[in-house]
Amino acid sequence: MIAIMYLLILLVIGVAAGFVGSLTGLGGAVIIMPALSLFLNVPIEHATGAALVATIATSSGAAAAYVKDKISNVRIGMSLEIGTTLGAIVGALLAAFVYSHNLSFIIFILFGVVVLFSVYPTLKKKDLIKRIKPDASTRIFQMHGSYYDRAEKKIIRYDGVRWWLGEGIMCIAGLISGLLGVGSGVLKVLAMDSVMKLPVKVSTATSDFMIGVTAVTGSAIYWSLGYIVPSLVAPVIVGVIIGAYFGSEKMESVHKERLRKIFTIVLVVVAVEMILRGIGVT
Amino acid sequence: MKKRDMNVVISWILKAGVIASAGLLIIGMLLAYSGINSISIYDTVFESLGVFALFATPVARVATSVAAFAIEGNKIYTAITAIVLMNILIAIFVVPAVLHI
Repeated sequence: MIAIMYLLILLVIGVAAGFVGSLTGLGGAVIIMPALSLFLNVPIEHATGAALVATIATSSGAAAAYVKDKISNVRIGMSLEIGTTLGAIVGALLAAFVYSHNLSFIIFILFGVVVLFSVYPTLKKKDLIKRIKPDASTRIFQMHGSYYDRAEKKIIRYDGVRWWLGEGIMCIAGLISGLLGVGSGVLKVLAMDSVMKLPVKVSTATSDFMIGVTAVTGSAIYWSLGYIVPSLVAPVIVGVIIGAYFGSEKMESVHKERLRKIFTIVLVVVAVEMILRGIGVT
Repeated sequence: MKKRDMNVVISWILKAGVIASAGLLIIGMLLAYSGINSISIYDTVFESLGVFALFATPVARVATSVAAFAIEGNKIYTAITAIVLMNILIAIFVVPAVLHI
């Protein structure tokens, strides 16, 4: 393939990933990993390296572009990061083990399963304001907060609970991130929303910055193992930054909904493809 | 440090980091495809620097939080964010060193 064409294709993949990533909160990795490993036949270690780095770009690119950061809860996010960073280190080391022992099929299958698991919550509907009593961990970890909800036009106060359980799930989320090169944003949102009882908007915004911190931890190890190829990731990252900027700011809500539905279908197809490749069918 | 100030600082740092990263990466790509052999060889250098600049953005976010919580006098969260920063630094410096023994 002509070099320039290859570069442009990678750029376009990046833009799509950044766009979808900031729109759905899924992180660009779910687009990049399959696009590179299935369609461009990039070795899977390099594909996961590119996907993980792109996750940082989605996180920082979108955060730099918009105001959502004010809604995120820095304390809760940072305290949960203890778990995700530790998990990411373990996950990245596991990935090294898998690749060096020719067990890559595990990655394909797990990736497909994780994506399938991830699309399910994005189909879930409304966020009912749950009134739950603060527990001991609320006080210890200072998990109170408030934000101004533009839709409801009022300030919403909340308390997070069950920090310990949330932290445990975060360790798993970190491990998945380090192992598969994804952001694990959906699992993080799920933990904060369902387990720790935070408002959905807060969970989503907090997860958006968390995935970047988790991804950089895994990326550092990936870099030392040579999974991140500069000439491969360069156009992808630039594309993701562009895509994340437009995805976060410029879309009307109506169009967002329809796009989300289309992407859900695409992702399900992609997930199945990955699993099939893993079990040796394609 | 007020929460709003911290958010403004972090936002600025992220913007700077992302722009720097994109800039370095684009320079690297242009060098790679420039066709002028004497400068083409620097493509990987710029691309790598671009990747490092991107890595720096979440690290800077955590480091800024440590400082902000310290200034605020929030002992627990200064410690918590310091632990997160330590984990990241372990991933950057310690784990690779151990892996390559």
